[in-house]
Amino acid sequence: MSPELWWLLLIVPLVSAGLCTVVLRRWPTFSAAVSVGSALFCFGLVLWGIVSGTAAPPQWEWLKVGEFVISLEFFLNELSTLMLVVVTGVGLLVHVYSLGYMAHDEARSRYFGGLSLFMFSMTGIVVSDNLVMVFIFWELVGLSSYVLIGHWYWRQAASAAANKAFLMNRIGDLGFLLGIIVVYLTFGTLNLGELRELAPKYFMAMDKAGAAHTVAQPALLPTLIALGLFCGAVGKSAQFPLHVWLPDAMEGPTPVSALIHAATMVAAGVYLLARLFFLISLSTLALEIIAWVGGITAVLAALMAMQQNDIKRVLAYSTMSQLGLMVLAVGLSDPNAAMFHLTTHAFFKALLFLAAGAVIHALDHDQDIWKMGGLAKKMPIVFGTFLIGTLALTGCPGLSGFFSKDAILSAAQVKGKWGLFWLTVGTSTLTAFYMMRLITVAFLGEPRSEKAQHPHSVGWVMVLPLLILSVPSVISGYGEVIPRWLAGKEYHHHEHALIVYAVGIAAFFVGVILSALLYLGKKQDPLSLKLLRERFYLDEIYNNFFVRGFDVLGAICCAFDRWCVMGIGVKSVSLSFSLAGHLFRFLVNGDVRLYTFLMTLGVVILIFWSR
Amino acid sequence: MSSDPSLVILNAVLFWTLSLGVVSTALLVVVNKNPVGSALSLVATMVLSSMLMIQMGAFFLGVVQVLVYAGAVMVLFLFIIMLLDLRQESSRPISIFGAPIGVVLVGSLGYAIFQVARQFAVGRDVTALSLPEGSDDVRLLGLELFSEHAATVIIVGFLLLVAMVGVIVLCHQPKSESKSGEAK
Amino acid sequence: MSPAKIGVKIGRGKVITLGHYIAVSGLLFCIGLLGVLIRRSVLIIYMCLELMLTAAALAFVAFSRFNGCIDGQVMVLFIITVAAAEVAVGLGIIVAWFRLQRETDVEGMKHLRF
Repeated sequence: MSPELWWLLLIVPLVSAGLCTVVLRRWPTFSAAVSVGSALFCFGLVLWGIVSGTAAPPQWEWLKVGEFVISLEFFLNELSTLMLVVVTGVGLLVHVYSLGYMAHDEARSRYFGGLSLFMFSMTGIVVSDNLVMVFIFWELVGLSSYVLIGHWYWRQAASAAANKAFLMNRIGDLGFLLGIIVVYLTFGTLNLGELRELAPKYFMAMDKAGAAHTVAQPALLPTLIALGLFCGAVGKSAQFPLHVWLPDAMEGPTPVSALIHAATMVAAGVYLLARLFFLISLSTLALEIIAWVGGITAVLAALMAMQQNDIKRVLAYSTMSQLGLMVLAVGLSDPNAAMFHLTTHAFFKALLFLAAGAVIHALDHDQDIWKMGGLAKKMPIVFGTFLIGTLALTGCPGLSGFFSKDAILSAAQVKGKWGLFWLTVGTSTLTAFYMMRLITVAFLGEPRSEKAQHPHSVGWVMVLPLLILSVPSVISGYGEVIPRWLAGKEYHHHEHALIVYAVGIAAFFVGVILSALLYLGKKQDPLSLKLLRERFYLDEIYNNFFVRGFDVLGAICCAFDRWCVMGIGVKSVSLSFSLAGHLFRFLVNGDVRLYTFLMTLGVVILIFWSR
Repeated sequence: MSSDPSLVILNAVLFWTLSLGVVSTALLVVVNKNPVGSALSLVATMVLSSMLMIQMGAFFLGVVQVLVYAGAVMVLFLFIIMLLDLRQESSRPISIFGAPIGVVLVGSLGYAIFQVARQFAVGRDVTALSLPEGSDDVRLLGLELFSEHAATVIIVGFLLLVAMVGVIVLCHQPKSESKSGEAK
Repeated sequence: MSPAKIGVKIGRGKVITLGHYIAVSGLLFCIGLLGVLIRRSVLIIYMCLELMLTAAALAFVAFSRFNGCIDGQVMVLFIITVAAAEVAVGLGIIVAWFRLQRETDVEGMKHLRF
């Protein structure tokens, strides 16, 4: 395959997006076909390109300002090719699934256009080798997310959620941009290839003999860089404190949630951290902060998931929690473990979301789990795939999730960070607990509502992706294929310590059994923890503090503008003129004697002045 | 002319007498409550000032002043006063508010003029100066007037015409009531 | 003996110079101006105006006499002429005014407004 064909990976989805939204607006079937076709093409291209080992195409200069050049470059190494497979593969399955899920939707053209736009942007992030291009695609991904979350824009909740997602992302992107600026100031280049050469040399200097040795330099700049770039990940991957948009983003259609908010977009943050790890690792302080932020997010999200009653929200918080674990892994200086978990997570989370979508579709868009029940008997295939996904997520021994989670635990244990270790263990236990709760309440027991009694049947076009995704959910952990692939030449096999295995398995069983005991056969939630159910009131805090705060600020500015700028500034000018007018009016009041007097006065003044 | 000391003294006496007279009658004009009295004082002022002019050698002008100014203009004034029957003066002939300020203002002007006058207070006595080409000032005046300033004469003539017409226009009443304005 | 020395010898107040005449003229002018500013009857104001003109005429004659040229006297002739014309018109206005107002208080004359 010739290297130039790689460009099609970007061009085809972009063209598809354009066609769907502009030209084929009124023919939704055609738009669907074009979009699915483009997804299929991209996936095929990726596979062919990897198998044939094609190199990246030469860079294409886009913008040149003096000496500052922004170019579009392809970056293909193990990391990016793995991510490409995940993105295009899961993307294709979601496209196919959408054919069934959105079959009765009127605005299908807009939807598929949005999906294609997203594929374009996400691929762009994965392959860009230039920080500016990454940022541009980053923003485009945020835009696609906005478009897709707000697909049913006439719903107040949907458009508000889209706004929230975009704004929170923007806040993170501000930090990202600052990080990029500091990178440029420190290293003079934004090309990742060049940065890869320069970064290790930051702490080194050449002594007179020509040999390199480390030099103690203040780590301020690398810390700023790392934290700035991490801000982008915090926004995009919904880490604490910018996490509040992710649950609300469930207002979008379920395939969107599967693609964007489970498998790919939110993973972009972790991907970025792994990609730029050589920069971030220059600062140990930043790594510490990253690890703890990830850990806190993981636990917080798991706690909040325990009390949610909407099936999609449980999964959303679960995503947040797992992302926290991935970020934690990066903080433990093991980006390969993070990427491993990212890959397995992409598969089983997409599976879980699509299966949940099937359930929602079958129950006429009712998402409350306390209105479900007994679906295991009524929808066996969906239940089976959902169960596989759950087992993978909770780390059931033998499935993919078990291996990737163990990799993270092992990283913590090896580095001796016991606080983070037990945090991960706690998260795993909670994960098992709430996922088992979900299964017990939604699928087992007796149906609790009319809709659950008679679910609609789900077409094969929706079931097929579920079945396809089940396979990698099970097997992708085996044989350490992925870590081997990622580490390439530097891979060395090391056995995880026994405690890691033991604790992992214990967490799984404890969580599952506790949950089953608590929730089997119940008609409503026996646990009622208001703090968790209200998501630690973080949404309310943000609203009162920031949103109202800005309202107050706006009011102050308005008052300032009205009273000071207008009142004093403008009015002083106008008042002075009107006062002058009033003053001069007295001189022209028609009184002849006054005129005479003034004339005389003028003459006298003139005489005395000119003497 | 030689500066005969007696002439000088005579001249001085004349000057001072006339000056005093002029100033006092002028003050009478300003101060008088009755407009008739004011007008008569003004006539006296003009006569005395004309005498001053004659003392300076401007014979024709002195006469013209009495004839025209005092004789016609002031008579016109008196005529109007009588016509409008302005015997009664309003309660306050002089405004209280304006008086001090006016005095101050005018006083300062007077002071300025006095300073100027002081500058001119050196030189020769009037009697020592010879009249330009004798005392035939009428002829001189005529020569000057109708050669150098002929245009001005014509313009002033037009001015008088316009004034006449203006007065007629101002005071003309379309009704049968007789007009009272006078044209000069 | 030069005339100036004679003047000095004779003593102050005895030599009437140009300055004396100017002083008198100025005094007359100021008295007239005072009258214009202070008095309330229009006719009397007008008469004081005439007084000012007379003072000016006096000054012109003095200058003409002491400088030896006749132009000052020409000017005085014009002053008298213009004063006559002006008096005619002014009195016409006053008469017309009096027909309307029945009084000659100058404070009633406030119609020169915008």
